[in-house]
Amino acid sequence: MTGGLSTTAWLALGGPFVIYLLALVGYYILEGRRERALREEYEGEIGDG
Amino acid sequence: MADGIAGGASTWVLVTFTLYLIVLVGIGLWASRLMDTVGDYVVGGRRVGPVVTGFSERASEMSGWLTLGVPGDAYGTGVMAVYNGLGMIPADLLSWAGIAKRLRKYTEIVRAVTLPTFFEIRLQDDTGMVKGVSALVLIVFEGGYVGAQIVAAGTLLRVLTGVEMWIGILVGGAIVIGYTVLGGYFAVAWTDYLQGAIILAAFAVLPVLAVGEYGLPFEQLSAMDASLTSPVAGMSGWAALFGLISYVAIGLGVPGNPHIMVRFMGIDRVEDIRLAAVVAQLFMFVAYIGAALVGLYALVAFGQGSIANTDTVMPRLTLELFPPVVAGVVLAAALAAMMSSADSQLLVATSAVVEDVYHGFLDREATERELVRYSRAVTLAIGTASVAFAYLARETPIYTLVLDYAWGGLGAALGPTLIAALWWRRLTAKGATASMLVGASTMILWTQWSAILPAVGIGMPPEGSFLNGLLSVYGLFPAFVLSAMTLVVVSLLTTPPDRGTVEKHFSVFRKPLPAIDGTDAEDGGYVTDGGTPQACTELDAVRHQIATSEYWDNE
Repeated sequence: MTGGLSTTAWLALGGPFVIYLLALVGYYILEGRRERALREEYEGEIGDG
Repeated sequence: MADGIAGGASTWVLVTFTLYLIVLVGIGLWASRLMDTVGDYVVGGRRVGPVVTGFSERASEMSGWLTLGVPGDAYGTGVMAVYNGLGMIPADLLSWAGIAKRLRKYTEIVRAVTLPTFFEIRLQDDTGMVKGVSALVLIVFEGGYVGAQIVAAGTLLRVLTGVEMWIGILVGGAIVIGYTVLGGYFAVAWTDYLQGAIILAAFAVLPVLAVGEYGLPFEQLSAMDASLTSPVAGMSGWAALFGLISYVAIGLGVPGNPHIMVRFMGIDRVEDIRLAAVVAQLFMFVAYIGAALVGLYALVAFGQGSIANTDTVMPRLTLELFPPVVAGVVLAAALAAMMSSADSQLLVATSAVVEDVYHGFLDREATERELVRYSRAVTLAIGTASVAFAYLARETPIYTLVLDYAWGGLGAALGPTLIAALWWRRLTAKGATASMLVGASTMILWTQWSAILPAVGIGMPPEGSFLNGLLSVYGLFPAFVLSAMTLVVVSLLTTPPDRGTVEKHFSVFRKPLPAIDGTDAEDGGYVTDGGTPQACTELDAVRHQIATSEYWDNE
């Protein structure tokens, strides 16, 4: 027991949110790369927008 | 008439509460005078960048459900209420990753300003079937949303002043309808942003203050009732599984809810999407965990079962822990956010009736002035119906009211079609229409099993059984699944839209937004990345129509 909650309960309640946070970091990195690659590919068609 | 629960602090609470609302109205009037056109309004909103985009995507949900509903759910359920974010957070991230850019780029191609129009053009449906059915879904369930916001506003007014609930509902309804019909732009981007920020800060600070006051809540909760500290609320077997599925299924509503999708349609710079997504996601982490903790600390502060109307736990804890002046600001921000959401939802429902149904079907030659006159009447009619709904549903917790009568219906009816429209070339108009009808009717049916079965002499299956779990699960789960299955089957059995056009449209997904020249557009040069956006969300469209017709000036 930690602070009135069992370890299993802490893991069950907090675990998904930790995974979601990692997924968000992964998305941020991959999305940045994808958009950059796309813009490099179409560099000639893009103005300063 | 009972006293407001603010007790001795009520004067200061009411003073700051009233002052905040007066200042807000002043900002709204001042801002609307400065802005000549809706284009200015939209551009002004967009200049604030991806942080506000992400914030506003989430702030639109800061109204009734998250502010009052989720703490109420935690007060009744215990720590399991943290799982309100279990489906919502990943569903929102998936929407940013899989829907936001595609919808934004497709909006550029088809020039769609409302979801019904987007569906109609994407599916090449000249019968008006898709547009009509999706507009009907919007009218019914956005009306439900307005009703839920009015109940939430009535609840807040009741907590603050002690008036009877029906008076709170009437006053809340009168304010919403009044400023929607007569008042003009009550909300502007920055005030919406500010309100979201105040409420989010309250959800971050309240648990911190509560820790200082009461320590961690779990030991006290466990002593009160062991199920309050169980991640499955003390359930086991099928009941626990379907309980978890219910929480996860809430996330299925994200793609079908127009107030979220229109934020994607209105994105200025696609390259900023990932930053907006991070802001929106972090917002959700704080809001969902904070809202659950508020409900848990209300259990510690007031005791289990001592609050009959669980919707009041958030304002009660706010009054308990914050100094009166701060409490007044937080509760005024909550009320303003509800009003602002109700205003938007009422206008979206109005546009579905006047633009999509009346102008689209009944009188294609109607003048702008006529449409505006009808808009006012329709706003009044839907608003009145929403007040009546709010009155009838006043005993239902806001949490259930929103999930069953608004969020779930929109999610089940429109979600599968929206996803398929962006990802599946084979989707047909008939498939989409059938999916919407099945999704909406299943959602309505599922909330009524406990009334229908006893009425026909069958009775609900025994608790703990698979069948009981299935019939008691949050209706969006079966409704979304059936809606999606119907969409696939009917689409495969019917004639697909012209492949060449769909291919041409889908090809934009592989390009960055600035490389999309919009040559398909009838009106030419619309929105470009970082350019000058015109009205391009449902609400912007309605406001544009209203503003160009001098809606508030011509009588």
